[in-house]
Amino acid sequence: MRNQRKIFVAVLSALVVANMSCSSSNDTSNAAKIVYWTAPSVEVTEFEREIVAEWNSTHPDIQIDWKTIPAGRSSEEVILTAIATKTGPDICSNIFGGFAAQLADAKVIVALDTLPGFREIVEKRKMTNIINKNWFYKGHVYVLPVYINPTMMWYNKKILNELGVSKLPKTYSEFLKLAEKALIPEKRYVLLTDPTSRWFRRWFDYITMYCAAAGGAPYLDIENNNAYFDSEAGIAVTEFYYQIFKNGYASRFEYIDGFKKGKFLAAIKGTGEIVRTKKMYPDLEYVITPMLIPDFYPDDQPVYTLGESKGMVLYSNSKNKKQAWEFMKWFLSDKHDLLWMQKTNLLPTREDLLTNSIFKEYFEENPKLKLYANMVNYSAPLALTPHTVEIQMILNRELWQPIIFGKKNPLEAARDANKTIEKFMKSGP
Amino acid sequence: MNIFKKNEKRKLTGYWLVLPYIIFTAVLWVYPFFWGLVIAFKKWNIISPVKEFVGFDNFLRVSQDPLFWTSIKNVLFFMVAFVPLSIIASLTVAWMLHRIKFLRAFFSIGYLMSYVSAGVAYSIVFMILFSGDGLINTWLEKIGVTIPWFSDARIAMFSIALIVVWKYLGYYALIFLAGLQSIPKTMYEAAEIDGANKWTQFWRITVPMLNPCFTIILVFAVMMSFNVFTEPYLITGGGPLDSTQTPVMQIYYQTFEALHAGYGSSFALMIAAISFAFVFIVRKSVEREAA
Repeated sequence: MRNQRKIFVAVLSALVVANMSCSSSNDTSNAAKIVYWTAPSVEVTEFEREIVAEWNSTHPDIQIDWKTIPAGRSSEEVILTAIATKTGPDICSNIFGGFAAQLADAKVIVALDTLPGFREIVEKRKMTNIINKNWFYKGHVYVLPVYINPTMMWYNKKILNELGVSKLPKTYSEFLKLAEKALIPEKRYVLLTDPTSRWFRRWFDYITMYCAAAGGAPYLDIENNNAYFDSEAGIAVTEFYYQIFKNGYASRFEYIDGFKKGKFLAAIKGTGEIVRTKKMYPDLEYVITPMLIPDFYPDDQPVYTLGESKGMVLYSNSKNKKQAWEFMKWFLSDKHDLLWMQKTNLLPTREDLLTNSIFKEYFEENPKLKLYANMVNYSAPLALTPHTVEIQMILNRELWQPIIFGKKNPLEAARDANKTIEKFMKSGP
Repeated sequence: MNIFKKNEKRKLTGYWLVLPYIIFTAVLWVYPFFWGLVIAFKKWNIISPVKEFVGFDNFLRVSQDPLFWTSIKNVLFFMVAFVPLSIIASLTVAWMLHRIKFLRAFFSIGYLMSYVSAGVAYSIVFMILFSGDGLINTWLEKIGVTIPWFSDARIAMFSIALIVVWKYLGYYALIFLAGLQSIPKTMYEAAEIDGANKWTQFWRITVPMLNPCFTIILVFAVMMSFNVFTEPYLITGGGPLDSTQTPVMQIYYQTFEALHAGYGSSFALMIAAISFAFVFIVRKSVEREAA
């Protein structure tokens, strides 16, 4: 009998708890559901978890259903497949301009500048110039830029000390001189360079070097279908990489974490690498400098780099566009930008990074990140073309791979790449 | 009358039993095939509702695409490495499995593990194993050799073939094992009485009796060669110098990266036709009618 009573009390308690949880979920059962996809990175996930929890607890009428972009080699492929199969999200982050241009041409994303409050959020986040210069495509803005990832040179401090190097190279010839000293054939290389044909990797070697060599000038003129890979800067960069591979300063093998394991003296890295290096190779000491420049580069000019930048888009087929837009505007705030930087080490896309007091303390505590913040105003944007993939595949085929394997001389490679890319831009796919 | 009814019932049961497979084939094979056929004649970017009819233009462009021919050349190179390696390795494993009595099922399942492993997972494992500072090269360094497995255009496809051999080894070995087990022992005993040595027995009894297994494995291997994708896609991205570009990589790139679905579809149909021709030739030249 006593046991029966116990069971009755337990069942009753369970029913009460279940009822309570049902009623609490009822609070959000009529809420608009926004499906939100973000980059599948550990650091971004940590940030988004906090942000989404904050939003959902304070906005019972609009609930965010957050997921990381499902596994795939690149976010773009997964998103395209999702759109094609109508299983895509309302909002997606981690979108670069070229991909947004593809989506805009297919009319599957919303022109954000047509939505109420767009100008206010752009001004509030201090990104008016960035938007005006880099994010207009066919007269509209389709991406709300979240972060910028400028690239810089990293040098292994231990190897530098071993070589007795106190002054780091600025120009190609200074670097090649150091390379001669640093190379131990088959044992230690000099510049970590990706030898593969993956199209997006060219942003982090050839194109970033081009932007530095050209003083931040664009590598493509989308309006007039011109490419500049056979310009003085383009030829200089091609010649530089030709020398790097010809002399064995870079490996034709792919090394996993080659720089971090001390197999390479130098590498080109973005800001996001700082947090990952700290986690996985806490003892690694390194020095960060601006990108290398050709010998002819004027002394009085600032050194530029490439700033890979990504942001959020809103899909046209979203049934809750208004609510999704509310979330996007809320997302971009000083407080969230600071949290974003703390978690991911990626820089928020804004012009006041070094002057806004909210970030001051963080930069003082993280001088390496401040070096990157200094580069934000000297970061050339990615070309805003829907044919980014095709163009960079041509670059791989006509220039990068032949240079690595010595199949063409630098001039020939630069001219072939330029000619083929321009032909493609003019005639279309 | 009763017999008639019974037969009808049995027929119906048969149809019910094959229905899931018919649905599976219709949804996942027949429909996509015809859809692919339709879009091969159109210009379409997957995400837009607009599909422009372009006739045979896509097919013409594919035939003029140097990467189409490069990918076929790469498949032939892959086949030259993959087919003999996989047959020799799987036949050896099958023979060993056939000889052992203890833990045969355990080893058979063990070899099959590679076949059921996720392509992405093992490709990444092999990429790390074969990388410049990977385990294989670290061992080789001790004897003063380093092999650029994936970064030398001359051997990159061969390295990919090695990985695919590892994947299919267990599956093909099981087919051979079934074949070996079906050969009557009396044939070997009779041959021994006639004075045939092991080598003669292998060539005169084992190989001819395994003809159906050779045929099916060759057909599978040829079809597989035209379908290789995950390993080069993840490991080499088609490089170096396009030496590991495969037809399916091109189809995937054209369809999902460059958004030329019509072009990708016509590419796929042309590759399917070539693959079918190869399979036909292989069957005609290898398959023997059972006596």
